Amino acid sequence: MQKRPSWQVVLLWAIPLAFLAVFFYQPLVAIFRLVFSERFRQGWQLFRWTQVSKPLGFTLYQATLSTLLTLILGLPAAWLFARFQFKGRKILRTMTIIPFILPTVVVATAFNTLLGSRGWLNLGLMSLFDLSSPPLRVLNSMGAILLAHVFYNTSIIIRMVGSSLARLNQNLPAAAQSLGASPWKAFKEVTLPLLMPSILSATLMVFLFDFTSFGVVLMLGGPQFSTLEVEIYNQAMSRFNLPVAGLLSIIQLIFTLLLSALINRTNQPRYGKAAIASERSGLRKAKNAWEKAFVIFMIVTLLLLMVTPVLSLVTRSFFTFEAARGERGELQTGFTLRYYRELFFNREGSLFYVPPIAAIRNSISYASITMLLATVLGLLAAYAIHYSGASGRFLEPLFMLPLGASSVTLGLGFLIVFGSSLLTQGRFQALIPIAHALVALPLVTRTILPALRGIPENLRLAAKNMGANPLRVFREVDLPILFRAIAVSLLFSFTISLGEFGASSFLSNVAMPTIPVAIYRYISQPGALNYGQALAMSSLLMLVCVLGSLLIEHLRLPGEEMF
Amino acid sequence: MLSVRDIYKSYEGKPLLNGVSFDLQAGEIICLLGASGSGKSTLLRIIAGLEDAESGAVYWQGEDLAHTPPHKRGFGLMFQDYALFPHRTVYENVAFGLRTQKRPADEIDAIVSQRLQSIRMESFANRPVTELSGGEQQRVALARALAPNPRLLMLDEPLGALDHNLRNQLTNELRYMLRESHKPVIYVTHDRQEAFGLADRLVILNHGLVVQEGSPQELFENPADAWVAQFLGLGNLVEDEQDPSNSWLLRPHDGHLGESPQATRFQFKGEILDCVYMGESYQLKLKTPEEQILLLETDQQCLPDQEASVYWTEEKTQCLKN
Repeated sequence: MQKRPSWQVVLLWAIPLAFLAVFFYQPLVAIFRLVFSERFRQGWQLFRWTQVSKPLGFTLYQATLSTLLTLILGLPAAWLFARFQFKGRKILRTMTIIPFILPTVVVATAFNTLLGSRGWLNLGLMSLFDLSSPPLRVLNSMGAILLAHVFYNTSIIIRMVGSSLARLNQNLPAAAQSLGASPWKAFKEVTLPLLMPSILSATLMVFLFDFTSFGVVLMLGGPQFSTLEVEIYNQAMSRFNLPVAGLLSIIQLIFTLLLSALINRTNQPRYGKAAIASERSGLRKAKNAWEKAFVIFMIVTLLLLMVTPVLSLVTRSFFTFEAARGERGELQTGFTLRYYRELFFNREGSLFYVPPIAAIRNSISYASITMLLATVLGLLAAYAIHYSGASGRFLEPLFMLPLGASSVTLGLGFLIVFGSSLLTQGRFQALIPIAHALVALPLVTRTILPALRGIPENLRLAAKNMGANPLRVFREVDLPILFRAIAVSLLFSFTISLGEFGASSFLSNVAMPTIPVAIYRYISQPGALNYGQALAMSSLLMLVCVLGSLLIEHLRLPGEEMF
Repeated sequence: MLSVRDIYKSYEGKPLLNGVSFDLQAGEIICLLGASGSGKSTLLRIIAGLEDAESGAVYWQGEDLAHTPPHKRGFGLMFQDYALFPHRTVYENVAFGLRTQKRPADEIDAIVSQRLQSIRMESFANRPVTELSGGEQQRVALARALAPNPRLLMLDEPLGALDHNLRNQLTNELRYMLRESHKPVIYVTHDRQEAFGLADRLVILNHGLVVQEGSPQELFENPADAWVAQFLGLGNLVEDEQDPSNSWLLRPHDGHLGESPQATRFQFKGEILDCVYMGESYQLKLKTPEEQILLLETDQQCLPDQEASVYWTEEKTQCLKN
């Protein structure tokens, strides 16, 4: 690597660091100051231990349970995709990956259309048995939270464990068998120990996601279930008890940082290339009855758990089931485009002053700003890290830390720091793209940095040698090579912003909701139209996210994975 | 001891093994020789029970092994990439097969030390296998395959991943160790030098069939067809003018420089492309006006770019089917 003049490197650091200092570290410090000054001033008696222990206990409990269930589904699913060839394998695999990229509100809405009182299952049972009220109360229960978490995170196990399983040199268990080990023993002594690092880090990753889950718990768990995230939101937004919210944020931050550090440790490749296969794809058809039964059982289970919620959301958004105007008791059922048409109208009596289309417009403009902000800052940060050599290794975590802080914490910090001045002027919206950019920044930096490290310095020297100035070198050498990474970053931050719920729920103004915030409000209201509009918006949001991530997968260079 | 009968296996819709049969006697070393992609490795995996043939059978002393799973066959297999367990030490790798046999610990200890001694790697016992060089890994893999005392040893291109010098050195070492083991051995390779250096008998595979088997000398003297002659690098192949389904094998050391004293069909004129000193003789490379390249061993030095005449007497040539 070539040394750059130090002032240039300092300048590269200055802009993204200043951004982080003002918009990330300042709010974080503000939370700490608030909590500790408050605690010391008011003494211990005002803080009740249960305010912390209850949400923390529940968070740990539901995260452990969710992770276990996710492993129970995910590990066999990883085995299925890494070992067996069957019809529709590729499609099913893509379908199982989709949940992971969906915004939490979309997931919550999807489960609502399947299991909610207005969902398919209840509608079906009602018409089948001629019932007047929905018989199943799956929503607002622990079951709904667990189901949604499994739906969400199984793809992490499939991807992480599945890819190391697919890459595992199959001669290793074969060698064990040729040395007299039964298939089970070969699995236990060879395959499993070699998979263990990836199982461990996938498990920790799932646990981290379950631990920080916000939208799913808020929307599917109902009022009686409060994780740390939800409790931070409740304490801050409904009870205006900022110190307790702050304390919960700090506890949450400590846990996520510990978990992230653990994940980083387990993620290091252990045996180098020794355990990686050189050729053989390893996919084969199910041979005996046991294998066939396994494949069929897994396909059906995955279809039920991973695919039906998505299909249910889309179909339900085209389906009307309501009392016709003026004729109470008469049900109008059937295909309709009404919910989509209604996105554009501002109906009188609707809870909002703005039609859903306005929320879509808001979200798109926030997402556009986020996209530019995050990509430019990410580029600067990547260059800064790249040109700092060894010292960059120490500074890199500064950029990665926002990954550990939840967006709810971010929202709370913003509320504390900017609350008084900006909230009153109604200019809080400016902070939404900033919060989104903070969420996207670590991911963008991680996307650009490897591409940047891959540019041979000789290319730049050659360009310089032919008389190009630094700007021209950047334009002619770096930019074309980084093009894909930059495109991925833009898409990445755009879709993140569109789906982000935690920070937006803190920061968006009643008159200017983002899409997820609007969906959350619509779906918690009675009335078929509100429900339908929420579904229509969710379906559109899902479509954009799926297209975005397909495009990202397409643009991504082979070998680069999200995890 | 081992009989392989009519093994058929296809790969991605194309036949890979098209009815392969051969036998193996006690203590015999045979080499399966074939171009890469000829299904040699698959055949080994079928014999080991790791893959199923679509039809055909493998017998051990008359017993059909169709329902014997790999771990009950007692066939040692050494993989091309060695497949050493990266999460285990050298000692643990060699001990693996003994542990599955549930041998007592002191016996395992004794056998492993003896095995490591025979490959001169006693001091490596507690090293992780990921730190070994290619040659060291090859030796540990052989020691591991031999440790549980298999009934049959199969080696899949054991020297394939090594560089040229190491290969030559290890071929000798391997021959010694295989003879020493007194086990029947199936050795797979695409390298005829290696095969000739190790085998009691060669089995040559082409297009999924055994095209010829026999001792190295038999194969050398009487190749079954033109493909075998070419694959073994026995010499020049010249198409018969009357019958294009035949070719004549003209061995380089049987050819002569100049005009033949008696009439012969194998008199050629051409341009010398190259003349390389090979130690005891020169190897001459000649291009005829029909673009045929001929190799010839001669004790005379020639200069490139000159015209030359070469001939073979008819009794020193062989007619082979294409």
